[in-house]
Amino acid sequence: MTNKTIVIIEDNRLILQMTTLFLKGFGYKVRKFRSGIGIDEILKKEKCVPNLFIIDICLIPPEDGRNIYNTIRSETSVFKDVPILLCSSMQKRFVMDFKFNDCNEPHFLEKPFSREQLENKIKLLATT
Amino acid sequence: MAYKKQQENRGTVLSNCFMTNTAKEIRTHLQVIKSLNEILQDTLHGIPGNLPTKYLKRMTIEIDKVTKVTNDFGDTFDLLNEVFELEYEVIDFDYVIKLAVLSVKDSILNKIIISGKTEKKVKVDANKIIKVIKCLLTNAAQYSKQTDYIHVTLTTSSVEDHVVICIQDHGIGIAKNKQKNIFEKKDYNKKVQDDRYPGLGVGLYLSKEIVERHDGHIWLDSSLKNGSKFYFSIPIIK
Repeated sequence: MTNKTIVIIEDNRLILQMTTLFLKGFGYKVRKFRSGIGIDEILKKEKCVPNLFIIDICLIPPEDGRNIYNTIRSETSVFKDVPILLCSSMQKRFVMDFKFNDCNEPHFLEKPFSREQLENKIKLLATT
Repeated sequence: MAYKKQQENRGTVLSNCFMTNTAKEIRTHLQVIKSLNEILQDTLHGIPGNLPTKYLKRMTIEIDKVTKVTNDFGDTFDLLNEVFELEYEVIDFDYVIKLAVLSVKDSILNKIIISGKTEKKVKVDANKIIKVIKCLLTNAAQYSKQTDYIHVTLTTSSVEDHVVICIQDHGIGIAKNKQKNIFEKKDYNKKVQDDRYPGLGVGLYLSKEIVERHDGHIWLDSSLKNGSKFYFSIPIIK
């Protein structure tokens, strides 16, 4: 068990539940959300500084995971240096053609992913 | 006339949208099924004489097949609408092959043996070339026994300065009279697909399109009951 925390934003209840189970299985603490609205304040209140965000792109409209990505990466955000993994059931070429507020290409995982694929991505990202 | 064209465009946009959303929905549900399957396998782990685990592992293969069909579905549609854009990069050909073989490791039970090396660089859309190799490897596995080896051989053709890959199986082979149209689109009015081998039947058609867009060639050498060798070549970057 590490002390690392992963914040996951996913609107599909079942996927959220099972991905959380996997993440806990890898030894992480998980804070889960079905929407990104107000999480900034909630996390600040809980004094939670995550080691990684996992964000689904296609949330319940009008929410879009890519906008949450840009908000987290904005200059004023306290979480601007926290790694983010975007995931989606849409193929990469449909969703990554977007103006991201980041000089690096965002990390992306396409659904359906296996537990192993998820673990490999997380090992790579949740290092700090 | 202009109105008709406008209507056609509208139709294309609508059907594109419909296809993309359908594929997205299927992938979302597949994610749930795939995760449930993995969790069930964990729950049953370690029980002796465990038949359910065997079935669940079989189910994983089926899930990956549905994923493949869903991706094929989108790609074929893109191709038909000419939005199949290639993103070229200069890359080590042998490395692309390694990546492709690794990517099928979980879905193919056959042992894959790679021999030879080209040590050449090619200018390709690596993801698309990986797609071609995956298609050829999956076909090789589908038409072979699980215990059969699949051989992947890498060479260079000195005449045309191409790298050549050969994927050989020892399966049921393809009769000469069926080889002529094997890379063409299938006619779905005829019952040509064998139910034992699901798929859209567009893998080879897509592969040919992808290889030819890289100025390469694709061909085969096979006879009934003697297995098949599928080859494709890509120009070398000097």
